Amino acid sequence: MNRIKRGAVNSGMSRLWGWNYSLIPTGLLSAGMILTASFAWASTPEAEPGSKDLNKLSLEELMKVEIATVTTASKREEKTIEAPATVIVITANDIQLRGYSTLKDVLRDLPGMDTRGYYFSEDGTEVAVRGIVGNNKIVVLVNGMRVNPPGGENFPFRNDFSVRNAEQIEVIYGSGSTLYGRDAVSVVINIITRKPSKNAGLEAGVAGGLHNEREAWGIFEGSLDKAGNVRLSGSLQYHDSDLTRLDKEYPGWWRDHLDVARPKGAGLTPERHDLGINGFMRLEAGDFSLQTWYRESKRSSSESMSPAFGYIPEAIWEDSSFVTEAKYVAQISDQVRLDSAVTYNHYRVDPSSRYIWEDSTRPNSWFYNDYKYANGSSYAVEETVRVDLTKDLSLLAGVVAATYDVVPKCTVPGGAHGSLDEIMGEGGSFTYYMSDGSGPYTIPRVWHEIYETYGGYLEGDWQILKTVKLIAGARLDKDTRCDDLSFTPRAGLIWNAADTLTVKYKFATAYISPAPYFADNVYQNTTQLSTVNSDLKPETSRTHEVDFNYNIRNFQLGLALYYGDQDKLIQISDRNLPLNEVETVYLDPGHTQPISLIRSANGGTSHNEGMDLYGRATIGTVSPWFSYSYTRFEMDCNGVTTGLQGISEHNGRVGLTWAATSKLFVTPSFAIRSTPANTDAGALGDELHTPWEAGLYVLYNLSRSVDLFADIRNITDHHYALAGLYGTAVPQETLSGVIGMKARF
Amino acid sequence: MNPFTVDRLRSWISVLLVAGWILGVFVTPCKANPIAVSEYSVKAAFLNNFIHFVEWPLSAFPDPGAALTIGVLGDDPFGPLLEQAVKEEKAKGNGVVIRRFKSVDDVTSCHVLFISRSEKERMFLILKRLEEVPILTVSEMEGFADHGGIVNFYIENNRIRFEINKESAYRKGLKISSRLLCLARIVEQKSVKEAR
Repeated sequence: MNRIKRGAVNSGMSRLWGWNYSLIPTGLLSAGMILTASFAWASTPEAEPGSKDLNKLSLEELMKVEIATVTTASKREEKTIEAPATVIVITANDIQLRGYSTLKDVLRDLPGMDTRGYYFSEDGTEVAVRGIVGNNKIVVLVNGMRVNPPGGENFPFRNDFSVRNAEQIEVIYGSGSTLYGRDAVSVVINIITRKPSKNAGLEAGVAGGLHNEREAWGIFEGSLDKAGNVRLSGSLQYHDSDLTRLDKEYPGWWRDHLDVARPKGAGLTPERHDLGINGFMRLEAGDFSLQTWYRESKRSSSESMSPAFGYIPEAIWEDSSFVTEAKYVAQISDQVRLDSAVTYNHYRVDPSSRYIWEDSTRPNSWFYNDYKYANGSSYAVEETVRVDLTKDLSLLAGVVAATYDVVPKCTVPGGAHGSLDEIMGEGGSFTYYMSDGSGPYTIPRVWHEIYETYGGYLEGDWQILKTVKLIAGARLDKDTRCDDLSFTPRAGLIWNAADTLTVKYKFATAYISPAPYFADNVYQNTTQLSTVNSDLKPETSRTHEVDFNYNIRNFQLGLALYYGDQDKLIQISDRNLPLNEVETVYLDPGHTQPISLIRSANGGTSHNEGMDLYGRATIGTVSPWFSYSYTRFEMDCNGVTTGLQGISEHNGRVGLTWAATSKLFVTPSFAIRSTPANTDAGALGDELHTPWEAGLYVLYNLSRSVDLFADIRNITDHHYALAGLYGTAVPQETLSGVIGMKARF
Repeated sequence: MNPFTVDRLRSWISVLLVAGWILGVFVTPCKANPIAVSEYSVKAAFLNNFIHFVEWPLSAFPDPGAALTIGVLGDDPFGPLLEQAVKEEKAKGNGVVIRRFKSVDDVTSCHVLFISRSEKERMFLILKRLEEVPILTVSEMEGFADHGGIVNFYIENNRIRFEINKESAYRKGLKISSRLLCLARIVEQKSVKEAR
């Protein structure tokens, strides 16, 4: 019998760096190239347990591989079904067989999620979770490192977040501030990357297709020393597309746009672009790790408000994030483990970003919104200690300190250049007069916030009986801008009712900090002048949840029933609610130019309730999965009750992976949802009704190291629309797709 | 930045870092946890690995060019994972074929047979039918190896382990590598009386 010979390959790394990545920081790139060059002496003949390709592992190595556990729900390793929350795990195998490229592709297939593409340029895809809208209510981690923008901006889900290098994606539903602090309201998503191997390895892939969509990525791993104690891994993805043109696909909607555009003399040609770059690097040396994550996006700001919003080439939104973390894990004894982490997080909006929309007061010209700018950074230190007091009782304690230096999104008429002081000077200020004749009053266009946060948490995990586990914990956070402390407790009871059935109850709480993005939202449009609100308070939420997990042989079924309530809602200034309005002021001392002075404010309560039913199975050569989600949402504010905010009450998904042969894997999928609620259909009335989409992914193993694939999205070219930022219907992508190949060395 | 703010932050960072990192100097190294993967992807990889550590009698192959067959009897818990596990083997030598069987009566020309938990009620019957057939029987049921099965998976500390019944393999004419035996928990065949 033949033995598998595993030879290490450490050539060809330089090809990875041949792409156009001019926008990546020079420092990151240089470090990457230097470290990559050092692979020359890195190889050893053994693979490492946990690497993606289990089939290359020896028997001894396979015996070290741990089976399905999660680490995000309790900041410790535990079985998925025993985690104190609804947990969905997407494995590297799922990613490979379903053809996921970016994080938004994964989220689109998850129960409880209502994803809306082209929602708004800053957000990309909007991800409502269990009825709660707001990408700022989602915490995203990479190997436990928080990558949300530090200014509290909505998390961007675009083509700039690759999952090609993910080993596992853990999705923890519901309030999660006890362990993760601010903003963990609707879900915590942790992308766990492949663990660096001792062996040098390289994966590279390219894809291209309709709408000029192009993708290229590379993944590398290896050791920097012969013993394999210092290991490095990383990935780089480039993804761009012209997106759907939308003029032929949605002619009625496009005619509406042209009616506005023709007199203005521009915007008559569909123009939409979406470019994303994502890089990651991780160095491991014994108990020490250093990881860096970078993303950037350049995208037409032509989304959401109405057909007249955009289609002007200068309407571009461009931003980037750079996050790096150094971590040390100390196993002090068999019972005590201490994790120390220092994290730096930077987010920046490029000064060339701007919006251009219809100017209702001047029919022959567009309104060129002033150039946008934002720049924020944070430094955070976290110490976490876990103590196993007995076999059945353990404690987790942590302290966190962070400082923030944030220029929230603002407008600078001529574009931002130079130092912060210079930019503040360039921005100038808005001036207004009160109706009583007083004034002038000024509001600086560029706001600058420096503040700190401190937090501490303690949680116990007690196996009361053989089949019953209790967790209880609480956290206190202090934001130096707020007088009050944020208190976020949680408790959970997990009962293994039978070998095949686990029942969980969880109560959890969360809060959203009054981020500068909301509190210092300064801008002026044709009818409104938005000012800061220094008194903005944290928004709070609570979740009750009961989960049933049924696992038998090759079938898994989950049912989650939840009820949540939220109060002190942060209502962003342009929601145009009565509480947002301060008063009518005037732009001139003669009181001839009235304008509404508005600001973000706390107000109202809301509650969400519903269920997620989901399952997966393996039947012969077929692995089907499905989910059905039902959600209700009500918000009471200023005596007005509103329902779901542009999302659907019912969401259903079904798909399967079929191993047609040992080399050919076919994955069709289908998603359908009820007509989005509270959405202005405009010219898209037909397209808004019961949106659905079918997709097909085919993977063919051409040889041991080469795969070919075809990914066809919206294969039936079904035209449908979903709600955008302001509740108006937005057309979704029509038929699109790529073919590509990837190779492993 | 306000100097007062910087000072306060420095104090915090200093205290936390000193506490964490100094403690770390005196501790036992902690190996980072391996990434967990699904149970059946690991078991599929084991099955793929086993074929390199077992020798079958010549009679098990109808001709020298015949492919090695891995079969699954009963409900298949692997789905596409098994096909993925053997894809590299398929490209080499005589290759590997995956087959699925509903009943033990359908099992022909098979070299490795994974017997699913769905066959628990019929375990004794299946083992009896295959008693003299040169098939490496593998399962994940308690008592499987004790009662004549050759390899049985079990889970210990979140890791897959396996036990082997050497006697049973010998009776079928299979030769198991000492390397495989070293990693296994060796079990003895229970007598028919005990089995009942």
